[in-house]
Amino acid sequence: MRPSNSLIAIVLFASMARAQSARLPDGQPNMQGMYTRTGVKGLESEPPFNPIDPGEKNPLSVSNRGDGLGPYPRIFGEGGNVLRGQQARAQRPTGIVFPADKKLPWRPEEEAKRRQFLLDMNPPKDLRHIELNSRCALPGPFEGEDGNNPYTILQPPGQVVILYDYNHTSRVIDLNRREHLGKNIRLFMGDSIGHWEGNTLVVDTTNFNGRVAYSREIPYLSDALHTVERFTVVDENTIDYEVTIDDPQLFTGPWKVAGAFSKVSKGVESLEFACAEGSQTLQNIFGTPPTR
Amino acid sequence: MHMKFSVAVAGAALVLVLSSQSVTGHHAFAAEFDVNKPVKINGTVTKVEFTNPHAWIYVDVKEPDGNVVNWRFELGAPNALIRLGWRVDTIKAGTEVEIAGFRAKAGGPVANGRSIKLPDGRELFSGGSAPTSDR
Repeated sequence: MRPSNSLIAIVLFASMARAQSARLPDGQPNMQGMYTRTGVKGLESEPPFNPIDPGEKNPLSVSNRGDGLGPYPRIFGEGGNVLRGQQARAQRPTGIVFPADKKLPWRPEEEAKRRQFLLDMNPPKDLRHIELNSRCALPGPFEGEDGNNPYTILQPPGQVVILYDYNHTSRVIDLNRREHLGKNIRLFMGDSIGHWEGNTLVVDTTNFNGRVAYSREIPYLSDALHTVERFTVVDENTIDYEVTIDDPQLFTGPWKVAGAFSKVSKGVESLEFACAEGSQTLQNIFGTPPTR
Repeated sequence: MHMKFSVAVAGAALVLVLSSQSVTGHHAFAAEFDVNKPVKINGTVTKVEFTNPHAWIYVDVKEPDGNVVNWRFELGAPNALIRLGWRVDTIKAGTEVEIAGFRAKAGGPVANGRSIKLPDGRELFSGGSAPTSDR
C-alpha cells in the first residue's frame, strides 16, 4: 500500500516539530545536531618548549624562517570555515579558565617528566614518543581536531551519543547508569555517565587508559584522569562547554577548560576518517620498513 | 615536455598567504619533515590519493641523469580538502606541476607539499586567509 501524500505530510510535520522542540520525548533538552567545537585547546601561560611544534616566539620556529616560508599553508586547515554557521558565537572566556593565571598545578616531578618527554619527541626516542594522534590513536576528550572535523550529537532515549568526524569514533553517555565500569576496564574515550541539571548535561568520565593527550604541550594524561563536563544548551545553535580536568597523578588539583559547540552550516555532512588507512608517519620519520 | 629537478633553498616568492599561527593537523610538522630541507620539483602527476589522515600526490620527476624518480608529497586531510571544494580528480594524472615543500626526516623522494603550481600559472592551496586554529 502506498502511503498517501497527506500521511507523508503528517509524518514530515511531526518529525519537523520534534526537531524543533526544546524537549525530547524522554524529557531531555534537545541539543541534537552537528556542531563544531571551539576554545577547548587552551595553552598554558608558560608552556614548555615543544620541539615537534615550536611556537612562533621560539627562534627555532618554522614561522621564523628568514625567507618567511613555513610548512603547511594555512589553507590546509581551513575546512573549518566551511563547517561554521553564521550564528553568533558564545561570548565567554575560553581555553584554560581555571586557574585564572593559566598556570596548571603540576606536581613538580611530573612537570619535569613532561618537559623531558617533549624533548624526547623530536627526534622521537621510541614509538611511545610519537604523538598519539600521529599513531591514529582514538582522540580522547580533547584531541578531536576541532578546526576541520565536526561532532554530531544524537539523543536516543536515556543516552547522549557524540559521533566524532575525526578518526570516526564515538562516545555513548549513559543517562541511567549511576556507577562507572570496573577499574580494570580502560578506554581511550573513557566511561561516561551523565545526568541533566536543567539545561545542563553533566557528564562524569573515568576509566581512561593513560594514552590520552590534552595538547601537543601536554602529550599525555594518566589513567587516573577524571573529567566532569558541563554541556549547557544556550540556544538552538549553541552549547556552552566546560570541562574540569582532575588527574591526581600529574596535578595537585583540578583545572578547567571552557569552549563552545556551534551548529555547522547547512549541508555539511560528516565524512569517513579512517586514520590507519594511509598514515605514513612512521615511514616519514624512520624510513621504509623492511619487506618480508 | 619540459621537466626539471632542483632542490633549492626555498627563497622563491610563493604566492601563498603566510601564517605565523600553527594549524591544527593530524600531526606536528617538525616530527616528520625537516624545515631545513626545502625542495622544489617539476614533474608529471602520476596519481593523487585521498587517503586519511593525509592526501598524497605522486609526481614523476626526471633527474639530470635521465632517471625518473616518483616523488610523493603529503597534502592536508581529505576531509579538509573536500570541504574546501577539492575532489579526487581536481588534479589529474598527467598534469605538469611544480611543487614546493619540505623533505621527510627519513629522506628519500618524500616531502610535505606546501604549494602546487599548474601549467597555466594557477597556484593551488592559496587564497585562504581567515584564521581557524584555536590553538
